[in-house]
Amino acid sequence: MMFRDDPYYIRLVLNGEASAYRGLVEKHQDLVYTIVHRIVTRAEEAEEVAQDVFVKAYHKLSDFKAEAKFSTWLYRIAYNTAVSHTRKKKVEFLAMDEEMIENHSDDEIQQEIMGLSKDEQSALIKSALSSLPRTDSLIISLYYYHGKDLEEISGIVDLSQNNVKVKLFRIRKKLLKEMNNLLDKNINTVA
Amino acid sequence: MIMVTADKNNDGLFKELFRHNGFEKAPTGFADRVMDTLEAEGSMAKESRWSWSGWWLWASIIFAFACLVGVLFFVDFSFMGGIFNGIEIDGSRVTHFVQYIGSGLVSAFEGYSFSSISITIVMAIGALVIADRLLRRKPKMGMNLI
Repeated sequence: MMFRDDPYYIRLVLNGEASAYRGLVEKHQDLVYTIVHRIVTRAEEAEEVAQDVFVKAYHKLSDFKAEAKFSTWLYRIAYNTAVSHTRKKKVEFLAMDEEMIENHSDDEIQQEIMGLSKDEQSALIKSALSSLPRTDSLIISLYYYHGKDLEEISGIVDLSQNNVKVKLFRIRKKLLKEMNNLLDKNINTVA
Repeated sequence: MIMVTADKNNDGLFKELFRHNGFEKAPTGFADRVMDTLEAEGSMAKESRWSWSGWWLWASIIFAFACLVGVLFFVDFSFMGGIFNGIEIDGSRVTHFVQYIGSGLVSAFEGYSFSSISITIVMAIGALVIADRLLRRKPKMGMNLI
């Protein structure tokens, strides 16, 4: 589906043509849902929170400064809404126990992953992502899957670009080693 | 099997892994549900909403202003004194009461000379300033979605 630039829809909505908001919803719904789902995890709750994000953004649209990027502004709302939802529900953020990580070289792990089928790789990466702290899982997905640059990610999660860069480096390491742990577990289970 | 060039950050590996994996997509009908929620809110807000931006509002302001100018400059109020002749309030004749108000207003501006055009211009500017202040208020987003 082809969409027009965000300012086009924003202008229409602010001029009273509220139905034009659907364009913005359809254009950004997948990424907003992804961001929320990464933080909230339960699909039913994620949908509800993602809807709240769009309703909130609609009401705040007149405050949106045109010089900013609408997508970053919207994703920031999504991230903050999801985080505050988990705080309200007192859901603990998962933290990976780094002591559990076995000490294999990156090359060894990479070789092992490369030997898997696409389906196995898919299951592996999803499983490894679920073991990461939620914001980390979001950051790496935004970077690799959604192709967002450091500037935009820093705007969404409210960290400096340098911080995001350092985090990405650490997340990659964690993820790689978590995938290695999962592979080891699988091998041990089969054996 | 994927071919990945080894690099310091394993960047290539992650690019490949994420490229081949579909992630979350908003559920079917998500946009409809968002728009329904907004529409429901909008119709509730509509009941208490009063828009400042309709053409009819401007037409009313201009019409009211024209009426005011007409009343002030083209109606002869001398008949007013005769209307209340014979009526007494607290022992005073209303004729005198009306005359006091009239002469009071005249004496307040005594010594100043205003043409009807200059008064009209001042009042028009005043009306526009007030309208501008009112219209600059933030737009309410609880509007019709259809």
